[in-house]
Amino acid sequence: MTATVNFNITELPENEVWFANAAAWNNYWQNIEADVDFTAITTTVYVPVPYNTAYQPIANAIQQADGSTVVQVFPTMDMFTSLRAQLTALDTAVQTMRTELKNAGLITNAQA
Amino acid sequence: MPTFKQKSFVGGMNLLVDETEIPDNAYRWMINGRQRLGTPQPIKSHVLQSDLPAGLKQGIVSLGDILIAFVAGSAYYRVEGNTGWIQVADFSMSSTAPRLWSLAVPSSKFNLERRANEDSNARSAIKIPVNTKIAGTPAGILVQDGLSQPQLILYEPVGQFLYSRVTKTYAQWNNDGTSANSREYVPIGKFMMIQNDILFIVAPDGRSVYRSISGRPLDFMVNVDVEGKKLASEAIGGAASVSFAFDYDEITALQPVNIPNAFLYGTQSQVRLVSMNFERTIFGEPLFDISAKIEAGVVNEDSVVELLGDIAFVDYENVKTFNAVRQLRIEGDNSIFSLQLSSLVDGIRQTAPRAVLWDNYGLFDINTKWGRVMAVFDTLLDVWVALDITELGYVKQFATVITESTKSLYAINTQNELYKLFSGERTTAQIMTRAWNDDDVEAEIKTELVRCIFDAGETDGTLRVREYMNNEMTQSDSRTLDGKTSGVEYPVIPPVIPHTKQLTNNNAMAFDQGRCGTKVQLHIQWDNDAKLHEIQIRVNSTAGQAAIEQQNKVLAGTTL
Repeated sequence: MTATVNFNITELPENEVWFANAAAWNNYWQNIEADVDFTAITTTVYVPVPYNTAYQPIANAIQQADGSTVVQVFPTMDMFTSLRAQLTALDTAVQTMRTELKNAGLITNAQA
Repeated sequence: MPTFKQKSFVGGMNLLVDETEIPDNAYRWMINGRQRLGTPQPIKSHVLQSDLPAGLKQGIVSLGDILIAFVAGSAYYRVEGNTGWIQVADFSMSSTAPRLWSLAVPSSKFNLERRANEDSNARSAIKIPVNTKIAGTPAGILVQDGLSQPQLILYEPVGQFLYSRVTKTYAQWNNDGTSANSREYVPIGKFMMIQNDILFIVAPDGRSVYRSISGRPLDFMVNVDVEGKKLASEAIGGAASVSFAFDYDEITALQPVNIPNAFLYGTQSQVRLVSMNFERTIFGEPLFDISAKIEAGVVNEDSVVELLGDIAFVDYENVKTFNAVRQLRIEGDNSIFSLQLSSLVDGIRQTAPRAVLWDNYGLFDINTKWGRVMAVFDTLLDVWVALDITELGYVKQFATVITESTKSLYAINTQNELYKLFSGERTTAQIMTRAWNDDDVEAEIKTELVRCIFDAGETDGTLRVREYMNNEMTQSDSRTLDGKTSGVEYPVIPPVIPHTKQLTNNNAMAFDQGRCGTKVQLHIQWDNDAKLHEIQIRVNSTAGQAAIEQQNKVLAGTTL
């Protein structure tokens, strides 16, 4: 990662003496302001893998001996597959980001 | 062999004329020294008061022998000579306001009810019914941050400690109250002034001035009805209803002057001398007339100081003076006071200057070509004597603490440090002398011997002398300055061995390795409490139509 730092330093006027003693030198640098521009780290673009909300669970209606009906709801394989794809994409994106942050020097460790 | 001498330095700094034209008793400049009696001596260093709690240093104020410091919204105090800071109980103001302003206010003198005239004319005399005594207001230190309700620091005489309470607002001013503090109303504001028993407060926006009732510094209920009661709201009857201003500019200074019933009203572009008019009143309180107007601005309220009857202030270009008694119209840049400093500050804009009168010296913390310095004006010698360049840096505020036997100067700076000034070991002083040359313009000089004579100090020190020939440093030498033995204390019991250390440091240095030139100047630097008594320079003088430097260049074949 790179940054550009610009110090706003008071211009030294013409004079026969610029810094008469050490204190003058220290005072000159007091309250100096700086502008820092950080150059953004180049990262890959994360393309989201959304969960398919069209998938619906299966509802099994089981008729009991006493004539009542018990409904049991089960997620389908398609729902699980879609959710897993989204999670895998997120996991990959997080690891990629951590690797890029580590390569840029912002963090010490990415992942094992 | 001519010998140049200088035996006195009372003439002060001279930065205007050529070095050779500087008077015999003056010098070019001095850093970190003083010479009230004509013998320059290094100043004492400033001592950091590191035991003050850390945080944003918002202000300091003294009350007799007590120093109060405002740190990040809290207040701490210390009795001079004691160690450790005590927090002022119940004090809490803005922790982020860059500045807290404070002023010691006396107790009230006027404790009778006031009622507007039945003719409902605010310009009519106020009525003061007999037998209508009301509660007075106490003495204390009023503190403002421009944001929140001001607080009053009070002294508890039994427990002997300082504590604080919030002052009362417009809503809390009691129409029928006679108990303590029931007729108290202090508006929020910034810096303050007391003149003629009236407390003046600059409004938070800096564009107008509030004023209290005469004789009641903590009671701003000037505007009352025929029954002596306040009006329905602060917007109608509050301090702003009787405030005053003279133009749109932000008020940068409000300061009493040394003539009765008058004060200085400063903005960034004008200084006004304002008098109170007791013939023209509003609710019985005097209105204001402009006695004099000066085309000079004041940078801030901390850069105005009285110097032996004159008011000195810092505007954006220079330090200027104003004589209130003579109602002198300041000529600013053309006055002698400003002229001597003009070469230091020419082209430099003043930001956040500070000023204080200390030990008959006017100390001006200002921007100069030398960076941030404290320019020192000796009011007794009437000359600028030195530039103090120390670790103090940019001063935020000064405060003077006075005990029965001592007087101490404190300052806070923009690095959030508190220093006790001129109280430590001796610093290193530097003095650049005037330049000497032979009266014969054809003559050139070459130094042979330099002698610096000091009245010995109490401690040893180091002297360094640098020779400048034609403004170029050519040679230097150093010596030890021996301290003198201190006297034998009473009772003197034999055997008493007489001291062998000299009371005068007479340092002769052979400066014969330099070159010829037209004018010679010395830079003298030393770091103990010895006093420079006399300088002597013995030179060889040779006359010729062409300068030796010119001859050398011709012989060397270089172009002139």
